[in-house]
Amino acid sequence: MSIQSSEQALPRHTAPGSQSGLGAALGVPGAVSRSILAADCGSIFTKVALLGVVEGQYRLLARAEMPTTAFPPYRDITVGLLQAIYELERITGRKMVNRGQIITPEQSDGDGIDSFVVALSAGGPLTVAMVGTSPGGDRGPNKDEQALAETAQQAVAGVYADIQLVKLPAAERAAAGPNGGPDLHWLLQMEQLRRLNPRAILLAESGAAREQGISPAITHALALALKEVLSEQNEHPNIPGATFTQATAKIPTLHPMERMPVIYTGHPRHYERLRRELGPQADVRQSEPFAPHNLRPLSVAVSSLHERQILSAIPGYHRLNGWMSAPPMATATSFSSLIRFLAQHYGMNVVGIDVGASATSVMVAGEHGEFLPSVHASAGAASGLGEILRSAGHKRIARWLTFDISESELRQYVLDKMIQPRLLPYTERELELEHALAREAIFLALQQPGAELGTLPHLDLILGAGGVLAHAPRYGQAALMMLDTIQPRSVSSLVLDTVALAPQLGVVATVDPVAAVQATENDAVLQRLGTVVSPFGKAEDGEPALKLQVDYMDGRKKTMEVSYGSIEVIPLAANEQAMLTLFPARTIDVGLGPGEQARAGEAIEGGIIGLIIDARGRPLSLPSDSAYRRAKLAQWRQTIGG
Amino acid sequence: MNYPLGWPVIPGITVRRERRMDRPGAALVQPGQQVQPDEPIAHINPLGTAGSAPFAPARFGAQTLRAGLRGHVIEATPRGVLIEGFVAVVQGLIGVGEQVVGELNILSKEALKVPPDMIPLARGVILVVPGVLTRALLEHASRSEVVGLIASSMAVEELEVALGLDLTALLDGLPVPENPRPLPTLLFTEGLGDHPMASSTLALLRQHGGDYALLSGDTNPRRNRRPELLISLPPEAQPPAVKADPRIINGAIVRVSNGEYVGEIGQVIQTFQRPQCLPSGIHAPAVFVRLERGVKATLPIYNLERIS
Repeated sequence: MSIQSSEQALPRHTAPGSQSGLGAALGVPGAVSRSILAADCGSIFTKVALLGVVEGQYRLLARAEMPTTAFPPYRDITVGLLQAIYELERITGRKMVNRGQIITPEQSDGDGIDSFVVALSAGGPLTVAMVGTSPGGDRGPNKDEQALAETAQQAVAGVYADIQLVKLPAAERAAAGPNGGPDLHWLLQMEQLRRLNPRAILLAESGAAREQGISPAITHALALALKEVLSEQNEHPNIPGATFTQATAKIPTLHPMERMPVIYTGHPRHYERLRRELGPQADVRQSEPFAPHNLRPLSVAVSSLHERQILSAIPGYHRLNGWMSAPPMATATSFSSLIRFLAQHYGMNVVGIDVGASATSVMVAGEHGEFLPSVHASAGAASGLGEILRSAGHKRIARWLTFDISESELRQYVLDKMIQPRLLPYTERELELEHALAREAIFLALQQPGAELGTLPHLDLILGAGGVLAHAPRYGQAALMMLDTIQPRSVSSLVLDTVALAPQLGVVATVDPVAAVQATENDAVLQRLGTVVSPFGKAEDGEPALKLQVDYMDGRKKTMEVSYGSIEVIPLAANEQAMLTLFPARTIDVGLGPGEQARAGEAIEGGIIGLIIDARGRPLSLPSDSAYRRAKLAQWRQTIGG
Repeated sequence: MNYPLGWPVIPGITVRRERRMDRPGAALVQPGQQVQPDEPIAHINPLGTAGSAPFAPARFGAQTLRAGLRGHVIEATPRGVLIEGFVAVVQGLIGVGEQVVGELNILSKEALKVPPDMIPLARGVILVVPGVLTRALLEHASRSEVVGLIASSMAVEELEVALGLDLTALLDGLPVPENPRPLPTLLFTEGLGDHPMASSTLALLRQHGGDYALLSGDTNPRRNRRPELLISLPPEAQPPAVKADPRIINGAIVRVSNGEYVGEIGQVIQTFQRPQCLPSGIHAPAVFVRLERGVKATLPIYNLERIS
């Protein structure tokens, strides 16, 4: 149950350009940069941060945020990015852009920057249609196909990708209608496929089917379907509004030209035949087969396609690419790099939560190299609210509110935010709704295939990131969102990325790993909210759950009894440490077994909130009586400062 | 920022739009050719001769596409015809439905006071409702074979019942159930709920009663695709040149998108260098706005939409 503070654990030899820290942890060579401009282009907002060397250490010099402009009316991601950089120039007095170009390297007068890196999530997820390869297209997928699809979904859990299993109708239907045209079934199925708008196809077979290869009937149907889908995509390329252009804009072609990437994981001896049968509209790529014990080949293939099909298709990407010092990284990948680094470098079990506007990531990394990434590519705090409402439903969302809300008011709120995703919560009621929806977004990410918090015995560090958490007006609100969803057991540290920089630090490490480390440790990029003690076990509400004694380093002592079902906060400031002794009730466990008392092996750290005792039980169960539940929610918020 | 062309209403702009065919068809026009809004430009018959598939949804039947725009043909293929024309534009926040062409008919506010069934509606028109659309009026319009409806807003529940689908799924681009009773294409200028139509929008629509227009309900907020009404302007029309700058700056006329002043219009009279605290406690970039009714308020720029 002991935890280490970052102050204690972080070696102090991380000078700029050295090979220690994140570089060593990630195996990335270090490089000397006096200044690094890092951008995170999200689907709604673009965040930029300027890191520079001050007295031999990297510091966060300034940050700014502006709306992302990938879509109309601007249709160029660099417009919003430049606006954010101009804001940085205003704050710092340092010129970084000249005639629409990034000034690089840093000039002798202090203008310009040495490196510019970008994390991107603006393009949305890569939709992959996994084609069922068993015969009988007019029937639904069989059990083998469904199992294989679940494995595929697990393989891409850490990527902005969405795999959907589809069954194609028999090819004969494309010519079975009157006058040799398609029949109605074919037309309807193709309409559904166009609506899915896949940007890649996955052709996979399991077991014996792999030896036999994909039947010509399937490849024939797929070849015909690709023609339909590709012509649609050329009319609606990933640049929205391309068919709604103003006169001055480039006219998109109306003719099918683009090739659809097809990931083929079958036997290599069938590759050539497949390529021939699918014709010129398919770009077939052989990949190793994937299985529950070997997910990496598919993960790598889909991740690479996401970069090619989605990131590079973002309007303005090519101009942006000309400015960058390193290839761009998907924000989820960048964030997961940071979480893995924290786990390895500090020897801790770490969970990182990033609630974005359209996607939510929960990255779990263990001290022994365990890594369980989970990205819900469609559930987020703005554009992704529809998915939350559909999947969680009114009752689950409303359970987090201290007021009654009708289903129609909730639907109205969700739809308003989907239609106008930049809207900020104006009233406290709207803010509470946003936080309730964010909780359910995290739960949905945790339900993704492969996301298992229980894999790790305990969590040492919980890191919250993303707009909803970072911009929560009170730290207690962010802390409660993390505790309500992650529900740690035993002792953990709560950390909040208050400057929205964490998702960029992984990509910063690709040009200068030391900068990422020092920005993390020097500038409260990760703001320590406090240490949380979470006893678990069963007791009646209001019964004593835990006695604890806090021995402050200055000799003060404090003892407290905490009731089951409550949260308590004990003052322990950000720079304070204390020794902690826990005396759980007979049925309550603090990590050493029911009723076993425990004393921390090392001093625990304080934080902005302090020492939090979360004695609400695990799993957290909210009272069924709505009036009592609302009273409890209000009480917990008041205690923790939310 | 919610409107692809910058502002919700633009009195005159040159646009290019594709009249798409759901299935390959035959274009009846050539590149460079001048077309009128009601002129046939393509013919489609995906299932062969008309009536050969009696159970097929209407969209798979034989169709003749009309131009919808006055202008010249840029490109014509079996998949669509691209036309450039000079138009007045009304963009909405949300809509549903395919492109349709029709004559604009404007309902009076008085007409909304009588039972919907008693309102005489013409077949094939695009109807402008100067307020909130009710389910009863929508169904009456559908029965009257009105092809398009423009209204300020509609209650979420009523719209979902009328469409027979979950709007969140529709906006997310998920497969939605087929509606056995096809409805007119819809455009809501102010979104969902109960909001009056902005006076500038209504004024422009009234100005064009009787004109031919092209209406699209296509909406995808993730890509900022919005529904739009394009009203072809006569060649001699010379509306003021508009540069639709969406930035919220001093002097901008804005409409409030949520909170206690939702729907109100005002003018930005001061911008703040630093983020301001909202009633929710969130700190955000904000401006000081004088609303039309005289009240002044500090409002976050992300909750404002520039309208002119």
